[in-house]
Amino acid sequence: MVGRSSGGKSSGRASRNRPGDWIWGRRVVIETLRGGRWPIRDVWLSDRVEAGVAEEVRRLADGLGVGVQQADSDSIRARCHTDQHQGLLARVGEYPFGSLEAMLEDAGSVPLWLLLDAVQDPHNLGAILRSAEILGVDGVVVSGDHAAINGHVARSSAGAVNHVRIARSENLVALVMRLRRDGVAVLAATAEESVAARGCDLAGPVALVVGNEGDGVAADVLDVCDGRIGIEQSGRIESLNAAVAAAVLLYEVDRQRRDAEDGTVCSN
Amino acid sequence: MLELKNPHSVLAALATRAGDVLEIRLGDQSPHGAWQDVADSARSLGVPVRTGRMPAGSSKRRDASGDKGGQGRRTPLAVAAVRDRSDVGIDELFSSAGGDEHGVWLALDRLQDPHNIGAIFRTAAFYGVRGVLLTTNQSAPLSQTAYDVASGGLEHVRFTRVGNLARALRQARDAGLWVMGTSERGEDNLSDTTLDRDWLVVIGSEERGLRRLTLEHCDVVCQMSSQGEITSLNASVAAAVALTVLNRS
Repeated sequence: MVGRSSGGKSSGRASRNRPGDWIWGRRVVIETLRGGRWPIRDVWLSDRVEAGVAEEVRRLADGLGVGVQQADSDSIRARCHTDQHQGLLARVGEYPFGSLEAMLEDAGSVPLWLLLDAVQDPHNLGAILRSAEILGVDGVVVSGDHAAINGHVARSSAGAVNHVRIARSENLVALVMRLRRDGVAVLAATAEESVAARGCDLAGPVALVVGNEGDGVAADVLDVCDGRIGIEQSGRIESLNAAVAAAVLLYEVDRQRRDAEDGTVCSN
Repeated sequence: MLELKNPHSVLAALATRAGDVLEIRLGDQSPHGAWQDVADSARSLGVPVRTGRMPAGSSKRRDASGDKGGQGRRTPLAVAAVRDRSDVGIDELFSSAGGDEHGVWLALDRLQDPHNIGAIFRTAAFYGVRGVLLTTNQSAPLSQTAYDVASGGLEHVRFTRVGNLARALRQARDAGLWVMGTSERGEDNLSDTTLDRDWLVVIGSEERGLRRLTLEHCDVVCQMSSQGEITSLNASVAAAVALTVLNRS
């Protein structure tokens, strides 16, 4: 189901932010200033931003002790390499991943976790974070050679990078085994040999594993999961985009929990 | 003319309209994986396959699309020169409505992001969507990015581009389709949708959602989730969730 994404994925993406990374766009910058999670070093504001918005940006930045400077659209564009900045740009520090331990400990009685095994496309990662926020995920864990959380991810996430709990795991296999010991059903999204999501009982504690765009969930991770979960195909194409697959599965969890329907236990 | 870089997009074009695939250029390394399949298929179909260094224009950065966080991309392994796929007429798009098996159609109202359009076509092909309506004004074109993100989906789903979506929605209703809008302010819940009819699902633009005039042409307006967030799902995700629900029979 997940796999074979848009072609020619290049390698060498950085897993960590570089100093001097940028975020842009009104919603993303303002929510990042408000959120207080992701450190902001400085803010650039263009004349085309209306007075009310500019005033709010200055007020939020003042509260954080962050400098705001006036800039024209061209110099903002030169930094973020896109026209989508809406006159607002900020330089951010390294994205502060949350503590995995704290995240797991804070879980409610029926947690929903989303584990991402080397999701590499910033658009996919951002869209997944956005879906995770809307569909009630308790926390997202990124692992392996994943896309850095940067301005593109922030923009695709519609600001969810500031709201969803996001942690990193250096050892996804160990995390899966630990979650299973804690009574969480860990299900890997795969196209092959999977049980359709509607046939899985997702009303209890669940962790969904979504894999790399090209290779899917790594074999060693698959081996330790409780089972494989999939999406029933009815057309000509065999696989879905990773962000789409993640959202469809999260929606199914949301739906089942709402309906509290009886389902069959999902297993291999 | 498109320069496709995803071998799965090219394989789908070769399988469905090989006459429109003008040339495969493989670069100076021997192809592997899916590009090897492309080369084999192209040769058997009589499509020219060239090897050698990529022309400079093929390795340009995907600037605004920003796939790689603003970093330049490496020279692609290979590219295929493919003609744009043609629209079908709107009557043809809806011609299979009213049959014994109910179908699903999509309408994309001024989508701006070619990634979203491509991802929606990929999902549409996964679910066997009968056709897609797209707006021409204030909309991203069906570009190379859309084709490559669709990963073959744009070859398997028919589409019609229209200037006037409201009129097209009236034509859809005349053809017997029911029109569903998707909005976080919708009054109906998506998962309660009845499946006993042909549905046309309208997906609104990333920034502005559905227009008032579009909403007026909807038979129902559904929301996606129970969470009550002010934010809404990404357009391609919203489309996928709607298609999943409508595919549950």
